[in-house]
Amino acid sequence: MEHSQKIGGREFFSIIVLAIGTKITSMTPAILAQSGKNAFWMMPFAGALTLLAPFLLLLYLLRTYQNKNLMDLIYHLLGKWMGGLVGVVLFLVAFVSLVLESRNYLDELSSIFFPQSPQYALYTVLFIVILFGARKGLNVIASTSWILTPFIKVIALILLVLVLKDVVWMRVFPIWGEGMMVTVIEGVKKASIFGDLFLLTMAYTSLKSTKTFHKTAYIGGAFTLFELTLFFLMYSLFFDYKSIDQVAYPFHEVTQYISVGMYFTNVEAFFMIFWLFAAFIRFMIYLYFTTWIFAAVFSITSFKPLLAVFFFLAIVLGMSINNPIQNVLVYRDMFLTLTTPLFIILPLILWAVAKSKGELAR
Amino acid sequence: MLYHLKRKFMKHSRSTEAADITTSPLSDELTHNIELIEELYSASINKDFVVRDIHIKGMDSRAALFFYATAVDLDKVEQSIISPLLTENGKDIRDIVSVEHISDVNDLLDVSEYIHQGYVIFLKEGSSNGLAFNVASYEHRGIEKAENEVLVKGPKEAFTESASVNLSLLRKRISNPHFIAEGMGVGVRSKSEATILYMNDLVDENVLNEVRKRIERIEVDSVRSIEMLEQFIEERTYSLIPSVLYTERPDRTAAYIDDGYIAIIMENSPAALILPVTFWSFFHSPEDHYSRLLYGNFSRLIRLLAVFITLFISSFYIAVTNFHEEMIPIDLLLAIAGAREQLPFPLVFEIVMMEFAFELIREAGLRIPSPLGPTIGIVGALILGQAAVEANVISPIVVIVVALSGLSSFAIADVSLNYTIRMIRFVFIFAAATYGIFGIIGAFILCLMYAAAARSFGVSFLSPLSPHFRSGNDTVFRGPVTKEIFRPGQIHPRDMKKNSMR
Repeated sequence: MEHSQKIGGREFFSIIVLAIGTKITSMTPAILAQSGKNAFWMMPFAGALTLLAPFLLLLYLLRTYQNKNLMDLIYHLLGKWMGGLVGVVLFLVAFVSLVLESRNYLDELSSIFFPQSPQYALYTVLFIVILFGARKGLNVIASTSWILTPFIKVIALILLVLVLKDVVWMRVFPIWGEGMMVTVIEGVKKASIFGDLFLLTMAYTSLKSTKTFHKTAYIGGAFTLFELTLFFLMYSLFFDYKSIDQVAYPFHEVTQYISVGMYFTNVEAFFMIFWLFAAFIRFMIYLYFTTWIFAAVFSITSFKPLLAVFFFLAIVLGMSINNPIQNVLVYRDMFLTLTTPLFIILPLILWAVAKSKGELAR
Repeated sequence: MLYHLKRKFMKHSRSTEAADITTSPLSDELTHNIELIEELYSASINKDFVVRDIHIKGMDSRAALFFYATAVDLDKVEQSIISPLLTENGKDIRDIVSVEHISDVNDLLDVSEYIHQGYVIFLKEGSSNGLAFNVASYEHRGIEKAENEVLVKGPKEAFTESASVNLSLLRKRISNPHFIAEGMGVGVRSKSEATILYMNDLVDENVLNEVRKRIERIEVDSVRSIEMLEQFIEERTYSLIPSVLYTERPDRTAAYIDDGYIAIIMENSPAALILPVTFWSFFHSPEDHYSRLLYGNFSRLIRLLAVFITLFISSFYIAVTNFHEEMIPIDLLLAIAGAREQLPFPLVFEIVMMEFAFELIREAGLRIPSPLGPTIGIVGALILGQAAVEANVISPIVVIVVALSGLSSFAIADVSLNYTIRMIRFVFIFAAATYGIFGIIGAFILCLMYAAAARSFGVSFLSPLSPHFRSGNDTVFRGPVTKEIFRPGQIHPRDMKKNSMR
C-alpha cells in the first residue's frame, strides 16, 4: 500500500531556508558585525561567492554518481579509512554546530523572554520537542517545514515593512565599513555560514529526483543569500556604524523596538512565535542530519535511538559553556572560520580522486 | 453457583450442537430437512418463524417454504411464490415463481444465511438442494433531512438505516457503469454485510485491497453498524486523529466516490464511511462547493479562524497574562488586572474550571430530554456565567474567553475533528500554564508533526498541502470549479484529470 515516500522540491526548499535562513535571528549577525561593522551585510555575498565553486563541484560529482548521497560518495571515492575519517570530521562539524547554535538560541530565549527560568528547564522543553520531531524522520520534518515556512517568511517580511520607518538610509555609509579588504576577507573567512548546504546533500537520494535536488539547491541557496543580505542590511541601517558591534541579539532588539500603530507597542512576543517555529524546526534538521552523518559513517541502519544520545550530549556540552559571549564571540566565531577551508577543500579532493580514478569520463 | 455452572454448560453444549447442525448437509428427505430446520430455528417457540408445507401443482410433489414473517414482504410471498406454486403449471420452479432474484441453497449454512437476509427458502421432496427467493423487506425510517451536517444551499436528503435505500440514493447521483457496489460479509456468528463502493476505473487498487483485507480480518461475533466497523478498520485506535470520515450525506459521499475515494455503507447505519481521508476532508463542508467561490471561501476562512480560536484563545490568554504582560496595551492590562483583583483562584484554574463547565453543558445538553432543554440555557447562562462572576469566583474576561472558545468549536461540523480539537485545547492550556508562548509553540509543533506523520490508508493526513501533491488545490481555500481539473493526487487515482472530456 505504501507509495514511494520521497521528498518533493518545495519541502526540501523549506528545509534549506529554515536551516540557513534562520541565521538572521541568531547571533550570527553579531559575529559578522564584529569585523565588518555596518558593511557586514555584504559579507554573506563574499561567503557565497567563495563557496559557489566548491558547491557546484560537489553537485557535479553527485550528479555523476547519481544514486549516492554525500557519505556514500565520500566512501566510494576515498575508501574505507580515509572516507571514515572525513565522515567523522563532517560529523564533528555538524555536531559542534548543533551544540553552539542550540546554546545560542537558549541564551536568546532565556535572556529576553524567560530571565527567571532556570536554563535546564528551558533545555528540557527544547529537548522534548526537538527529539520528538526529529524521531518522526526526514519526511515529516520536511512536510512540517513546508507548512510553516510561508508563514515564517511572511512574518519576516512584515517585520521588514514595520521597521522601515525607523531605518536611516544614510547609515549604509561608510559603505565599506572598516575597509573593503577587511569586509571581503572576513566575508570569505565566514563563508561557512552556507556550509549547511554541503551537509544537506546527505539527502541527495531522498528527493523525488536528482534534478529536483539541483533545482532546489540553487533556488534555496539564492533565496537564503538574498534573505541574509536583506536582513543584515536592515540591521546595519537600524543600528549604525558605532553601535552595531555592541548588539548581541539584533533580531530581538529590532522586534522590541518596533510597534504596530499607536496601540500595540510591544509586539516582540508575536514575532517570537514565528522565531520559535523556525528555531524548533531548524534544530530538528540539525539533529537529524548530524545523527544521519554519524550513522552513515558507522553504517548504522536504524539510528532513531542515537538522536536522543546526541541531543543530550549537545545539551550537556552547551550548558558547560560559561556565558553567551564566550559561546558566540569566541567559539562560534572560531568555528565558522575554521570550517570554511573544509568546505572549500573537500569537494576539490573528491573531484581530484574521481578524476584520477578516471570515473568522470562516463 | 451450581446454577451458573449448569447454565454455562448448557449454553456451551447448545452452541456446539447448533454449530454442528449448521454445517451438516441437507438430505433427500423433506421431512428430515424440515425437522432439522425447525430444530435450528426453535420453530415451536419462535413466533415469527414460518414453515409452510406446500403441494406444487405443476410437478405434483411436496415442498416446504421457510422464512421469517417479519423479514419478508408477506404480500409478495403470497402473490409471487405461494399462489403460483399452488396453481400454475410448469416443470421448473424458476418458471413458476415470479421473483427477481433466486439463489441456490446447498447446505444448512446457506439456509441460515439467506433466511436472515430476508429470503424465502424453498426445499423440495427428493432433492438435497433448495432455492432461496429474495423477497426481503425490513422496516426502516424514511429518507429525512440531514440533521448533523446541515446546509443552507444544497440537497437536503440524508442516508437512512437501510443499505439498499442508501445505495439507491447514491446510484441516483452517480450514473456511471464503473460505479461498483461490492458486498462483503462481516462478523463470525451473526453475519452482516458491508458494501464497499468505488469507481473501478479510478480507485487505487492497493487501498481497495487493504480495505478488503481489514474487513476480512475482523474476528468478532457481530459488527452491527458502520460506527462499529469504523473502529475495527481505522488506523490508530489510541490516537486523537481520525482516519475515516463519517458522513450522513449522500451528495457528499457521491462527490468523494467520483474523486476516486472508497465509501462503505452497511445495513442499520444512516451514514457512509469514506477513506482514505486527510485533514481537509474533516475541515470542509459540502456547502463550500455549493456556494459561489467567494462565499464558500469566506465561510472556510471563518471556520479556519474558529479552529484557531478554539485551540488557542484560552491558552493564549493564560500565556499573555502570566508570561508576556508587556504585550498587552497598558489600558487593557489595567482592565484585566482590575477585574482579577479580588479573585481567589489562579488564572489557569479559572480557565480550566470554566472550560470544563462548558463541556459539561454541552454533554448534558446532548443527553437531556427535549422538554427539559431550556433548563440547560438557564443553568448555563445564569448560574455558571453571571452568578460566578458576581460571586467573584470567575473574572468576566475569562467568561468571554471561554464562551468564544466554546462558540468557535461549534463551527467545526465534523464530529471526529470536533472532539480532536476540543481535547487538544486542554493540552495547550497546560502548555501555556507551564511556559507561556514557548510552551504553546512547543506543543503546537508536536501536534503538527504528529499530524504530518499520521496516515490514513497510506495517505498523509496533511496532504496535498504537505507533502505537496498535484490536486484540485482544494485545501484551506478552494479555486474556481472550472479550474479544479485534477483529482486529489494524494490518493493516487488512476485518472488524474477530472475534465478529460472538456
